[in-house]
Amino acid sequence: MEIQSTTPPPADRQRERVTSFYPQDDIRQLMPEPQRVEGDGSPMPGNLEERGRNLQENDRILQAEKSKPFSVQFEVDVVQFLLTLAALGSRLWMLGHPRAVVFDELHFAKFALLYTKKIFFFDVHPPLGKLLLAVAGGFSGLEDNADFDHIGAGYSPTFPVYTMRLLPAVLGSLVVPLVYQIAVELRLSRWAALLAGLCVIFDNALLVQSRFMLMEGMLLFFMCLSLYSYLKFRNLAHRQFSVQWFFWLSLTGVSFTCNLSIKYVGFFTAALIMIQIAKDYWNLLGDVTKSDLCLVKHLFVRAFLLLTVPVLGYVFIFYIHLSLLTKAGPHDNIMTSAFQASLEGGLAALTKGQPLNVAYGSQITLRHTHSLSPGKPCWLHSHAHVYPIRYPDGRGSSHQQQVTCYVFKDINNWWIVKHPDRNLLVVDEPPKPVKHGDVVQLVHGITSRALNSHDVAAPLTPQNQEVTCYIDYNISMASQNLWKVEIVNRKSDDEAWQIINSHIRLHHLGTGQALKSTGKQLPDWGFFQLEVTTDRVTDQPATVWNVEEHRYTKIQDKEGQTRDIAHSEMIPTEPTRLSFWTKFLELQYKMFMAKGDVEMEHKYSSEPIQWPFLSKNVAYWMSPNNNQQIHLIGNPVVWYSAFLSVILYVGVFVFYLMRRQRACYDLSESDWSNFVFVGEILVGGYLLHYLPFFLTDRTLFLHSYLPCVIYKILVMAALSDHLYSLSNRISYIPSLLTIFVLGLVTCVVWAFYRLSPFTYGSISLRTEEILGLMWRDTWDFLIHATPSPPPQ
Amino acid sequence: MATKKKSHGKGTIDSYKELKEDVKSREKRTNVEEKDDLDLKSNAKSNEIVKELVADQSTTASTRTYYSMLISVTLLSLISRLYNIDKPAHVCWDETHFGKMGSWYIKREFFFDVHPPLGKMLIGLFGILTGYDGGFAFAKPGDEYGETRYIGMRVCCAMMGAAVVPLAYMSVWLLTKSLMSSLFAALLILLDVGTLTLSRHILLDPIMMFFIMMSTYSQLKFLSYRDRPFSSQWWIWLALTGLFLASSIGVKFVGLFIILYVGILTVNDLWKILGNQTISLVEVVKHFVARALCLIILPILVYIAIFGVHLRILNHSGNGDGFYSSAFQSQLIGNRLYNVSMPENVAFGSVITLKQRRTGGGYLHSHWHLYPEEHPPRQQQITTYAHKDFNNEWIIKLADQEPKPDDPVQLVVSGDLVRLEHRETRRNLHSHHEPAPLSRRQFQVSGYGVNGSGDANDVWVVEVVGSPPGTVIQTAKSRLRFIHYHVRCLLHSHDKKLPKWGWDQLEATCNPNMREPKALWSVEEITDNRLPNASFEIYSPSFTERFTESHAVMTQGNSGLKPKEGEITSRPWQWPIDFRGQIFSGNNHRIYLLGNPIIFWGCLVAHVLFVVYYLAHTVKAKRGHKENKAWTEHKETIFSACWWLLLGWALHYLPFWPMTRVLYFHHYFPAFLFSAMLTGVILDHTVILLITLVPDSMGSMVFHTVVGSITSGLILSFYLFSPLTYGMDGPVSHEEDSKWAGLKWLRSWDI
Repeated sequence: MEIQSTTPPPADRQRERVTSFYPQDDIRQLMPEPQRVEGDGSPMPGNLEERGRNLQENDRILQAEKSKPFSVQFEVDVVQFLLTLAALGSRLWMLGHPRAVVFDELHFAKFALLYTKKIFFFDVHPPLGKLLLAVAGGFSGLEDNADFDHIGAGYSPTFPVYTMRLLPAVLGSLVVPLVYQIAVELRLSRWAALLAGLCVIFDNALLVQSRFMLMEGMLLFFMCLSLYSYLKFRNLAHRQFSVQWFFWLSLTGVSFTCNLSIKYVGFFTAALIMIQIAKDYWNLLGDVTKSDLCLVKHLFVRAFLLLTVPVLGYVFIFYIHLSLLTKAGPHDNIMTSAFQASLEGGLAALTKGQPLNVAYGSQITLRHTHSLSPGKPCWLHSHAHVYPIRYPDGRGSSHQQQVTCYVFKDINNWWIVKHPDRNLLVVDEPPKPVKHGDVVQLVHGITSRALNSHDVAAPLTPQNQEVTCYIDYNISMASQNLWKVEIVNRKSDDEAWQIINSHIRLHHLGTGQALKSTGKQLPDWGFFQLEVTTDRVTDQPATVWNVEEHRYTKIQDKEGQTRDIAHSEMIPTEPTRLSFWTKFLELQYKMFMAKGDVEMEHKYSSEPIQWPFLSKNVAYWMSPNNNQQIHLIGNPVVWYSAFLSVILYVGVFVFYLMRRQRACYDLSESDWSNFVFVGEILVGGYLLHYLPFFLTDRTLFLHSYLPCVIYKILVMAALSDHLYSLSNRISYIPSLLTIFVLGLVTCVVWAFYRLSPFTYGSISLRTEEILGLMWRDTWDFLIHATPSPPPQ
Repeated sequence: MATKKKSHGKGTIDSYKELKEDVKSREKRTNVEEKDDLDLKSNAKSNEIVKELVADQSTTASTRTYYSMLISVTLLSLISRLYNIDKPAHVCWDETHFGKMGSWYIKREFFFDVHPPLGKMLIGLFGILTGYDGGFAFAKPGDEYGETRYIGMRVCCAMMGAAVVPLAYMSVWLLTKSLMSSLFAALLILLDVGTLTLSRHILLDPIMMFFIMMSTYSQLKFLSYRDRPFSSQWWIWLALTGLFLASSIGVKFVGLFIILYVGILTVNDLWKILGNQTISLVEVVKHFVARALCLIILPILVYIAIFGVHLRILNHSGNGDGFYSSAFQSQLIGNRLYNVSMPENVAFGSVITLKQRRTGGGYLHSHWHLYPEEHPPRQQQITTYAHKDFNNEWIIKLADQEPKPDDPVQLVVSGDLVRLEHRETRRNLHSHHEPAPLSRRQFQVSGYGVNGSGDANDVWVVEVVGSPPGTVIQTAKSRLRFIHYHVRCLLHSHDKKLPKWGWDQLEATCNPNMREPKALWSVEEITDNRLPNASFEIYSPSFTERFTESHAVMTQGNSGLKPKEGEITSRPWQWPIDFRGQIFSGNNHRIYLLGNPIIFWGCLVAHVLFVVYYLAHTVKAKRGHKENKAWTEHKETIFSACWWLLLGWALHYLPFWPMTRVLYFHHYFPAFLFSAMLTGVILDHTVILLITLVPDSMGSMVFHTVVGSITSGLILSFYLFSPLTYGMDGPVSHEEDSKWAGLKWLRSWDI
């Protein structure tokens, strides 16, 4: 496909056929040369003279303008102004109602609260949105001890509900003028832009989602802003390296960074813009009047402002996030011991004052460093119970003492590090630290048996070896209880084993296998604790452990021992310092690896395939007293007609493409390339924000579809604009089309009005009214306090 | 082998030289011409010369050398695939599955598998043809074959695997018309030990690779007849493409990727035809219809036919029955539902089994075990279970009175209040406002009460969906909902497996979402001697129903292949870098599936090289750099071939990335075939580039050195790693006295 907007010299046309399947095929040479398109960001080699003339004319006009030295030009697009007002009005009306937790406010309000208390929390979404909420809350005195545990719980009287909802609402309102401007920058008529703006205002879903402490209002704002600034930048291509050019390019980068720092779906807008920038640059390459140096400059500026700056910005947001949250909190368990210890309180309080280096004679607890399911850490554990002689599948065990991984802190989690050659369990004077590569025995504190592994299949993972605490049954089975300590994150090979910071792997000396927690739950004989084995494959996260709690073994001479410990190296009374990068990388890893509640099922969750057809709503809030309720539900007229527009737009595109392939050119080249460009941005944006959801495993809700709604509304505007411009060829059709669009807008407003009780939650509808509004039988509105129906 | 290469080398070097000389002279000339303000006439003339030269190169080289090379790679391929094929004489890896399934075809026992049947049917056919009687159990890897005639099946699979090499050779030839590229491509596949290992066992992979390559080849062959549309060859190859496409997807669902590939090729071709103004629109429509017939209709018919054969062969009851609906089972000889007659309606006091009406839905089940302490209250477990068992039997009773033997028979109708008593444990089906063990938003269902007497929470409303209250319940036919009378929730079950304490059975819950469409049940078996029996023949499903049901069950089975928590599975990023192999046989004669690292890594380099070449070329072109026309045309052929091969690779590789099911290393090999062909083309191009760079006098020397070293390097690496596939013994590689320690290039390999 040639969707080139430049006019390459004739010779170049043949070289572009590299992907063609038939080398001999010369059909394309018959095609006419594409024409130059105004303002698509590409230079116009052929028209330079004409352009020069235009420029001179412009200069003359500019000169004339300049001759009025003391005047200020001021231009107001009244339509846009009114749209903004209407948007603000619709979004801010009754913003404080209901004074109760609405849907995901449960999380976001809580997170904002945790920011003000500086307590660490974990969320799979990046922090910018919550930071902004916290800032909004901070200005309005959010220092409440509010505790809300379920949707619908009332906020305390001091909680700044209105101000915290104000930020998303205002940003969400600004989406309307931005959409209007995007349409204008896409060279659609102002009428089409107005249509798009109106649809955004009167879409119930977009409205609901931006009225509460939720992420989407902000997300959509930054999405539209980045799109708008990119289009601005593109239309300034003829003024390269001017101040405006730089401004819009930087704004593009900054806003899409903000976008994806609120939710990772923002990445798709960034990708869309990057692809377009790359395409524009490719066209720039074809401009032989530009020197190579100039092209390199272009490339460098783009790479810097759209790659380097965003990456730095993204990291910076995490920097703020991590430097704000310094106290231990409810989600600590997800993180490694080192991370936890770097927070105030929590584990740090527990491990404060422990000796730093593990020595022969140390009493330790070993934590499985990378818990297999987030929030479920476990510690190496043993107890005075043995493996069953036979498993249900007929395999036998060694019948020795069980070793497991236990998810609670317990007295049985303590182990003593013993030197293989000595029987003494006490610490030397001075303590002899264990180093990387040393061989140790681990003796279970309570039962005094040594950690052992041998060539017996593990209970649940038969390909692995069983791990036991050795009992001498006086049969041929000898103990194999020597373990070699490998410090995984060592800097040098003679590093000492430190608590918390050292990630270690225990290699079984006889077999070379490594101690591993498989994460599988043992049956009742193992008290449902997790299985521990050794695995031939040593290099995997499941084999990494670290010491969490630590003390030196006490000797009789209490006084001497205290003196010893006093002399040994102590953890400072301050929390462990982890560098920002370590914390950042760990947090990122956990965020991407967190599976979320895959298993979670929700009455209102939905599948991506249901979204365009609006087959499900989401209940957000219901008054405890009457039928006032808030639902996330789109304006069906907007959604259906916009979705239809997307399909039609693609259809029209394919139609044109086939006609062109048969050498019928219905549109002028500039119209055609603008049509293609608008399609790439809008339909491309729609698909980019929609299709990836089919690949996710998570429980999804309707609000993930809202970015697509913006795109498809714009497609509708673009399509109607295009059809209108076509229809000018035939009389009467334009006015018919106008009437049709007016009718559509009327329907939109009517549908909005009918559904608005579920949007504002201000009116308590009667049961019949609610039933009357269930336009689709898959919608689920709530009806309060009806007596339970008699059995059918 | 090496000598053959050289003799061929001489054949092509001359043409290389000619091409190169021509390129150089033309370059000089064009330079001059540019200075002289482009003499168009001579340019056109020189183009003609180049065209002749290129044509010359292809025709002279093609006839004799082409066929001799084809024959030699085929022979080599056969030899390498069949050498020592009887070893090891025990079951290797997935032979345990596919051998077993082949045996079931021979024994005509019904089974369930997530893959479509063609591959296993072929294995069964191979078995029959070579005298295997289906008697071997294939119980687990490592079992000795003993007297079993297994070699025939292996040989047949290996033959199909061997055919991949010449097919790659011919396909690359069709794409590039360059012997060198074709030969390199064939060599890369021939000498890859991974492909070799996969081809030598009773697996679906050799069959799959064969069909994939066959589809690719026939499509390319078909395209090569594009100047003779609607000729008989044109039709034959088009139809063959469709046939092999159907076969590919008939073996495994990954065949979908090759269908996509051929689809894209076809659309591209049609697009070209559409753009050709000399072809009338009617002709275009004819082209379109021909392709639709052969590439859509024909494959669908063939695919359905495969299933027809499958269902016709497997007409005896086997271990796969429980996955299918009652109606389906009634068609299997030996099944309890076969030719059975049962009461048509349900009365109070009947003993029934309830099956959930969804694909893979089990029977409502209970047993003498309680919910564990973590999931209070500790009442008796209720689950769903896919297999038949006496614990699936329930007695249906009136909600408020015990049945007496002399009661008149009262049929159960929609809207009745009922109790369900578990026949074995005599506890009632019960639910209450307690979270279910796995789905915390739904309610626990338990067995409650003693000897059939419980409490008010044992009462359920039975409803026939889609019928008014009062409708009589029909066995197997009626779709039932069980609504808990007090809690208002639906008896429901889904795919979540209970942990060990629930014996890996599926969780049963009471779902408060009254709109749940899957909470439907049907009465499958009923025993009640008070009621008259009716024959079950009326419910026997048509072929279409059985066909659709098989697919629904397979889809469900495929999505159920999720890795368990903590289990390490192979991930797609590991495959192209040959990160970790798969152990095929762990006993004395050890076999390890691992790609030849030289070839795998070489392929990666080739991919990068291609991108570099292409970028350099297009950027230059975009910047208005002019090149000799013959050279440009040559590059365009190369690049277009590479793009198609790259597309083939991407289509067979990238879709695995978002997949959440269990993945294995051997899933990469279809993609590898395309990758190897691409590498062949790029190697050839690199050689040409090198020759054009060095002065004329050294051209021949450079050519021989480069080609020689590449070939010998490949052969050497094959020699080095061939024990992986032909069997190793002695200590494993990480032990000290192992002779295989030298092969452990990566720490992750468990050689």
